[in-house]
Amino acid sequence: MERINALRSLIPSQDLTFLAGVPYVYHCHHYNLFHDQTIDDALGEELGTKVRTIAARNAFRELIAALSTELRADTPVERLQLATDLFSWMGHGTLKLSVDETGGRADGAFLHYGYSWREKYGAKVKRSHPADAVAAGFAAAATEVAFSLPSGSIEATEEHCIALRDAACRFALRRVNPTPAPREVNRSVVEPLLGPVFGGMEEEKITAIADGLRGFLRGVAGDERGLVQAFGVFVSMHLSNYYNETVFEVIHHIEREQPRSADVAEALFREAGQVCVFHTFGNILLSPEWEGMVGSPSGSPAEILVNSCAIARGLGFGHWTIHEYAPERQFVLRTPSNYEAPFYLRRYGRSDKARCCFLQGSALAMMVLAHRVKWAENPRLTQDFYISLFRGRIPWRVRQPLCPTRGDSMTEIVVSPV
Amino acid sequence: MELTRDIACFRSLTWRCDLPPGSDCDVLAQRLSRAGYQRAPSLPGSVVLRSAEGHEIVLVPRTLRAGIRVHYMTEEPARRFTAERVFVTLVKGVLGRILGSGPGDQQGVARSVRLPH
Amino acid sequence: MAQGFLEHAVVGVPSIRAVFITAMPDCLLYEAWVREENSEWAVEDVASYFGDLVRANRHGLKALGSWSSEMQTTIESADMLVVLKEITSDFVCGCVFERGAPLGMVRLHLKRLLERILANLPSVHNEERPRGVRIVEFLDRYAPDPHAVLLRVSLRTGIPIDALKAAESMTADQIALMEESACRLLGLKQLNI
Repeated sequence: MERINALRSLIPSQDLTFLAGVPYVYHCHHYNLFHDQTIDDALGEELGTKVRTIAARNAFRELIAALSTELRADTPVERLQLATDLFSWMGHGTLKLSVDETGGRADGAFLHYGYSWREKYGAKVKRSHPADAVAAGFAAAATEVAFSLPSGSIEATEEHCIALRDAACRFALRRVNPTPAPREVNRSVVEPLLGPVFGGMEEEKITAIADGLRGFLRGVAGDERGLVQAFGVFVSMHLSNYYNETVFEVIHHIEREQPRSADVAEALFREAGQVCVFHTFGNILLSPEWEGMVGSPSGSPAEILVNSCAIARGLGFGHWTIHEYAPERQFVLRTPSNYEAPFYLRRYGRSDKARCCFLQGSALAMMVLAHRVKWAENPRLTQDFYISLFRGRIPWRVRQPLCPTRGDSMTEIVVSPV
Repeated sequence: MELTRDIACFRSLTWRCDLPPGSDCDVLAQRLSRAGYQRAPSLPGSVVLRSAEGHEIVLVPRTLRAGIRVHYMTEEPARRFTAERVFVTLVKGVLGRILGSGPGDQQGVARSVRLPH
Repeated sequence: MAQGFLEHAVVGVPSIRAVFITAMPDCLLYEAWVREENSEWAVEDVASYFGDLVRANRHGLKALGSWSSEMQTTIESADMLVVLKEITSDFVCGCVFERGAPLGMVRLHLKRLLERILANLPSVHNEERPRGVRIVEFLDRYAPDPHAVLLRVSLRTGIPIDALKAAESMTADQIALMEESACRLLGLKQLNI
């Protein structure tokens, strides 16, 4: 897997990460599950699953094709092997592909989505539809690339899923009429869309911490089951194109079909950002590894904001900077880059709305964590604690005055009192 | 040394304790390697050791914090017991009582390890 | 602590040692009556623990796939018999009986006692509360991510979030939509409320 690892690249001044030129980030299972759940809430389970599967197919097709070229995997069996190794290495579980150019079957074990859904929600609710659309899309993409099939010519359906209390996950793949591939979103098209670089408060400190975290993540890979357990969460190396395509397809659908619900959809995608910051950033901040590298949180709100920006950069979310901070009053986060806006510009062009819901929710959550968590008392980041922090009246609101999708040169998020 | 629960999103997977003042984490890591714990990737400033079963011990030399992470495949009812077994191994390492520790290690114990009352 | 209506409610129940009414979900003591010889009991603590116990039992039953809103917990110890019942969504009643009291008599006394208590509690009977309100409460109690559940229902159904927050005023169509959505969210065929 060192061969794949060697194909990582970074735009250092922008803190955006790529694998064989395809943008990737790290997200935890809490975020992944909430994100997918929101897609299904918006579209219904059937259409939601379809949109998620297609988005995964599109994103991973780009990656598997690029890797196959770079690593000279020329035959179907080489490409399929590369794909299955990649899937596990990225922390998505284990996928066994029994396919040919007409389709076939895939068997999944310890799939990131289904497995973590069962761990998190399985005792509380029953699920009626499968959870592993990403694995389905991946299997379809791998089959298309392996046999040099046109884009969209393999359809994959999850027929059994452990989240449905089946014994294992199984997918059926079949040949269908191809659909045109969407516009590629890779480093070569993203880089020109990024704004001029700038710094913010505590820039040197943030950079040093982010570099340390990024260096650590280079050594992180799926275990023998293809899962990555780190910082108390299941981490996945994932393609931002998947997140973006699903989010924006949903938002556009809602804006067309149910415009009065557009605010609600955006609120839930912001909520997903809050979930990410609380669970991923929070668990990193309280980990022994963080204590060794940076020191355990002292309780200073400014320190939490600095550390959070560093974590964001380390995870590939972009060059988050603290432009302005007045304790309890205002927090202005600016970034020349994030993983949402360039995708939107590339696929859809300009918009009259700001489009960075994940970043908005994250910034709000950073302010809540900075001011409402007693870090020095070693808090337990449980679901009940999350609910107590984010339920009811939060004394701040978040808005996005600047967004590259509207032609601005940067993203600006302002968190201020209600 | 006292084993306590740490924060974790899955029940009973993450535990912590504090090493005695003066503990030498490099020596401790060497002793734990004789108990089957091998070094794994970590952030600068900490040492992560992983057993063949996938359980981890994280040592923070600067603050002498130690974390214990039980592998996620451990059945929930067994997690506490597993954490305690890992903790016992850690304590034995601190005391220089892991099998294979040479006489030099035993002499080192009296100077470098002081257990809290 | 004023004994209030409970002093009258326990008349004719010779084996009763104490009654605790716990206000949920905060597990706070609402009202209590204890026999003279048990006056040293820390009534606030007992009420709080009883509330927690009922809540924990509720979660345990959920994990077993039991979704009924009817639940009664009986605890038998060496010197007393405790029966806990969730009498409305807002109140839990804990009755402590003499250990020697026959179970059949306990059940009979309990039924009458609960009727008297229910008549004196401030909220209306479950059956009289608007169904929309009860569905929202049910979701709040059982849905994962309860802080986001109304947003999720709003997105699924198209019902404005403000309407969901004023569930007592929802139309019949909206209630039907919300109930269907709640069933899908929880993986249930129907809601037992």
